[in-house]
Amino acid sequence: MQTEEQELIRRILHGETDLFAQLADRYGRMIFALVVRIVGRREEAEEVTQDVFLKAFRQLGNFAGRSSFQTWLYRIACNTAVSHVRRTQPRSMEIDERRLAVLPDEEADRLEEWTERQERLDALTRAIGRLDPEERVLVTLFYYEERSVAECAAITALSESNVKVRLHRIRKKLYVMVTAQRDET
Amino acid sequence: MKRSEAIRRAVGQLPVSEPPADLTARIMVRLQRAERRRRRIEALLAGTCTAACVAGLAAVARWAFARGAEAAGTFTPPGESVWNRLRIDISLPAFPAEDAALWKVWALLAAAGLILLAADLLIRRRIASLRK
Repeated sequence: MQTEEQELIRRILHGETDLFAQLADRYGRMIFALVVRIVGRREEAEEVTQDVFLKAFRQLGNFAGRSSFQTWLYRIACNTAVSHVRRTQPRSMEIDERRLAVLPDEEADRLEEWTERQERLDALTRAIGRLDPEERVLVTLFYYEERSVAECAAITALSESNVKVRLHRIRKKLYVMVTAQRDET
Repeated sequence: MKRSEAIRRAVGQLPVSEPPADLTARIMVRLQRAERRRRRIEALLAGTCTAACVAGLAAVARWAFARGAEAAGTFTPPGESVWNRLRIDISLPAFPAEDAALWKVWALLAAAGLILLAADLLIRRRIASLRK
């Protein structure tokens, strides 16, 4: 796959622009699924997905093959989607950092008990929708697509330890958001 | 790093529809449009650069010509040809001393144009080498 893809990229760079359709066909669905989870709206996600592929085409000459083409494309998709959200959507809610700091890990682990109750899962889904776009990227990549920490780090251009710290914080943040919402109602 | 079934299921609940069937076609249409626009801009830049260079060179030539004419009063093309025997009297307007600096500006513009042209060539070579 890698060699065939490299050959395809080489031919595109040598002027066979139409071959880019093969890459768009191969990765379009995957990128759209990621983008729609970050952006949240289908129409905007379609536009952003197109932007991702346009950027990828323009920067194809910079693809050095150090990572897989998919990882490289995912990185462009994440950056484009996050910038889009930052530009078009209001900032997500602030969280009480002190509460996050004192929250024991065991308590945040109680998130797992919520799989049994649909209303808790719905609240969790809403809370995920209110996370910062960078956090939504990590949630999608690590928890939903079940990518490794190393892959998440490669895609987001963060260090592995930074990814772990952020994922840990996101877990606590989601717990705090859902319980705060429950306390209010 | 612990996985979370609750978060995975919660993300899975987000409404995600299928991408439009003609997504690739739409991407290719936008890509071709963007490529055409890029080529137009490149041609425009190259044309502007060439015109600036030609104008700059003309300015430098005129400056040199005017200096020579000021010194000799007449212009005699060099070399052993029929033109050498033909004396052409060209009377140039007298440029006021305060405008003398303008010639330097023209020369600078010409130099800038040449530098831009060289930079354009270098960038094109760099892009071509990156694509190889």
